[in-house]
Amino acid sequence: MPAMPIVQKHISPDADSAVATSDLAASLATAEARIASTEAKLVDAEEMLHDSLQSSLSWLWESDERLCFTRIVGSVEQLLGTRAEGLIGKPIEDFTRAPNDPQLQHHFATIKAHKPYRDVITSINTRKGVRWIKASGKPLFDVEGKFLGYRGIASDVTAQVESERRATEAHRRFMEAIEIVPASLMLFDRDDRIVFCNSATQRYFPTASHLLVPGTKYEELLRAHAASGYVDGIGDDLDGWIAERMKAHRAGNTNIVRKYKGGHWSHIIERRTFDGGLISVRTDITELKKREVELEALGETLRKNQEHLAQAQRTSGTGSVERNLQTGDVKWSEECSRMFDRDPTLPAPSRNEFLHLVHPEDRAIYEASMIASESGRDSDPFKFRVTHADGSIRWLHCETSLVKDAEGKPWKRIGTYRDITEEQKAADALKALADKLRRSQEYLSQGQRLARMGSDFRDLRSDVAEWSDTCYEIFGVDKATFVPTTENFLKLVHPDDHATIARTRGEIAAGKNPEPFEYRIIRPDGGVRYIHREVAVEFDAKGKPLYMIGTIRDVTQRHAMDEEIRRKSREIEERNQELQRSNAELEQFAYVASHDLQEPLRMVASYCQLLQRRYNDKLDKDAGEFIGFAVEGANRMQRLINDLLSYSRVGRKGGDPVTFEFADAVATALANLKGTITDSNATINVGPLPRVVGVRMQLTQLMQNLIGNAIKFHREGVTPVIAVSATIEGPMCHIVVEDNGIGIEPQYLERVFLIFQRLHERNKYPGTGIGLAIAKKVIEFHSGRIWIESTPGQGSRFHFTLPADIQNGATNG
Amino acid sequence: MVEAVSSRAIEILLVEDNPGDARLTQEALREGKIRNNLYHTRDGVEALAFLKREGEYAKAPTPDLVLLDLNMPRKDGREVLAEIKADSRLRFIPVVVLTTSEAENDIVRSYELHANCYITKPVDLEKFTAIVRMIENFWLEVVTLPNRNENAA
Repeated sequence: MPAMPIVQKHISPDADSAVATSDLAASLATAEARIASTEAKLVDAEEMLHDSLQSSLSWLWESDERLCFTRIVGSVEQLLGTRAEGLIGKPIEDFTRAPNDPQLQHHFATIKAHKPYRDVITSINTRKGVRWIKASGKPLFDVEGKFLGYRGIASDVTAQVESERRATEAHRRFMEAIEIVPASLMLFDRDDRIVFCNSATQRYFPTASHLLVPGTKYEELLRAHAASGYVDGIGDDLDGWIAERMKAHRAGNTNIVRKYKGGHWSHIIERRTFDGGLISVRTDITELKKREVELEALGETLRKNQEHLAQAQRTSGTGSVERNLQTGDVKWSEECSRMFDRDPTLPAPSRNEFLHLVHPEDRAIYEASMIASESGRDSDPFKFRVTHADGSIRWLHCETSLVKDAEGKPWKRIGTYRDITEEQKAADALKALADKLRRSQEYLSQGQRLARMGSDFRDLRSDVAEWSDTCYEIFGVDKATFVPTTENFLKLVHPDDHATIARTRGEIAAGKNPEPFEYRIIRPDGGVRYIHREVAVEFDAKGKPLYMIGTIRDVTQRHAMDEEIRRKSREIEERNQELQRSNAELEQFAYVASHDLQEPLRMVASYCQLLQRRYNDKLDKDAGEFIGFAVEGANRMQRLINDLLSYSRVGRKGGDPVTFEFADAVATALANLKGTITDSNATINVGPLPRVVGVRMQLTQLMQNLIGNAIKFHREGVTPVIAVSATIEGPMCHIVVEDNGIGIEPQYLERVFLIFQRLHERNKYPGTGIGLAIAKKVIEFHSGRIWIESTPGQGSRFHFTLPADIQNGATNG
Repeated sequence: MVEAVSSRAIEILLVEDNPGDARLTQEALREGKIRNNLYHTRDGVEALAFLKREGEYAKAPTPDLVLLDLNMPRKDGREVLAEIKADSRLRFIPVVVLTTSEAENDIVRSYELHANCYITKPVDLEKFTAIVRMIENFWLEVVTLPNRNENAA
């Protein structure tokens, strides 16, 4: 690097001393010429010279033609520690410490050529150490030009040389230091040409480093630098930018920050030097700029956080009040106004005003806190209520801190308020929930006891189990002493049911949740109980069982009941079989009645009739009458048997129930009764009838029996009027057959449905008394009900119910 | 036992264990207008022997009509009916089940066994007489039956 020395090595000549020497020689010559007149002056001058030499660092010397010292005048001894006499006769050449110094060799050559010399510097060893001597000499010749020797003057310039050496070293150190610093340092002369720049400068001018040589004008450097595009923010007007920059440069007050390509930043400072030049310093502040940006971002974050904090305080409803206890001054935040529902434009409330803002029931606790602060005591945080203008009650939480003055007296009380109404509500709700939970647990426990049900939890890895109290009760073991390990549990299991337990344990081990199962236990008191067990097992990802939650239920009672039910079922089954047997017997009876009983009856009746027919004229009147009774009896017997058969067949005849229009059954019944109706001149009014579910043939017979009955039991002289009507009542339809007949005495209302019950003598109202019994049986077969309302002498209403066709919507009108 | 009630034309076989009933039928037919020969057997065994002309019935005629009671000792009417209708030589003979039974079972069973009709005997003599005449009239006058290949004995 072209480091340019700023100080030229230069030793200024001791001009004054040299001039003094030559003047002295001249005056000596004059003195010789005017010895006499000037002797006094000479002596005086010599003294003066001596004195001045004594007080200076110089001495005068003379040598002979052999270049050996012949005379030395001056304070050599004081200066060099060497007596002047010691030097006399010694060669000049010896008066050096470094005889081989080439510069000195040249000097010696000058001396030997008898030429004058000035200001030759050499070092010598003296008793006072190394001293630097500067010497000048003038050869002396006689008139014939013969060399006589030298006459000269020498000075001790050690101090000068030393200081010069120190200055040189300081300069070098300074240069080295400059080279080390990362900053760029440039020095320009008064023509604005580079005198010097340190090597770091290259980094600042990466595109123009070839110009960083002494002699380059700054503007040339700047142009190359700027035109390369390295400098940011120049824009299109390069010349304008350069002119602007040069203005500051020339003014020597540059203090700018520049940005470069690649994110580099420099700080440039320029100042004029004392001699009209310029020092330009560039510092790389890229890192600094980065920190600045980071700091900026950090500051932004901080600002945002502060905003958030403020926002959070606003939304969390935190307010604060500061009361100066000594002056009574109060400061309170706007948030406080909102919390206490006080007009924010009003001044802060006084102590008593403040108390009035507090809910009356909470004033005591509030005032206690105030008094504590006023008397210099800390007070605990507390809750209180305030009532807002709209009547709502808000809960506030207050935390106070007390600030004391230098003398320890209470000074400021700072209260921080927080609206905790929602928290309070939540806490209240939580408390209610906790109460409910506690109650639920009590109910559960009670319920388990009542239900004889226990619940348990078992960690299947550690075999540690927790049983509810009811579990212990069901197993009949003491909670205090019984440890519910699997082993202990198995001891209680009935030996016959160990297999059941083993099976479910196997299922659990295989990763399955077993179905509910039952087993027996033998309690320590010997009682056998049936246990219904349900479990839910939690498995890990590999299907390994972790723990099991389950319930046990004492189902002994249920088992007893089941046993009872089974017994009852067996009984019912037996009865059913009996019933079937008796039904079969009844059928057998019906068969017997239809064939075996009728056979002899037919014989009796037929042969009596045959007798009547063939021998009527041959028998007397009594015989004819007797035969008539026999025939009549046989016929009646025949009808009874037939009716009995009909009765027994209800429910076994006519097929399965179907859905049909009940009106059709009525129409068929009326058709069957056509003769009777015509004979009696009866009027039959049939209202709207619904669709019903039933055995059509049976219901036709029912209506035939009821209408037939109504006609049969008409009042004498009154034309029968019969009405059939229906209403829907839920799933059933209610049908009424009303007549205007003779009616039935109340005491007989039930009897009419009994088989072969007759209320009237046979002659008046013929029939076996089977009709209503069959009607009742038909209705009962249809799961309905039949009953009568009647007013004797006015008429009867026969009511019955039947399943209506609700699916298709019964038609009723 | 073969009892020829009258000569000429129609041959009727009555299978009936009750003599009273048999007599009533006989009386009813006697009062009828159609001339007939009524044969009476008292149980199923006799009836089938008659129809197949076995033993003492070797010379028995093939009846034009069978009046069959159901409940009889030894072999009852259902078995007789089944055998008649299973026999290709006999099955064309109209069989009228004439019984006191009104049991549904008997009615259904009889028709299943191809009875030509089923009639319940009424208790009343007049009605019984009327029914026997109706049977006589219907099966022997109204209905056309196939011609016989063989003559009655």
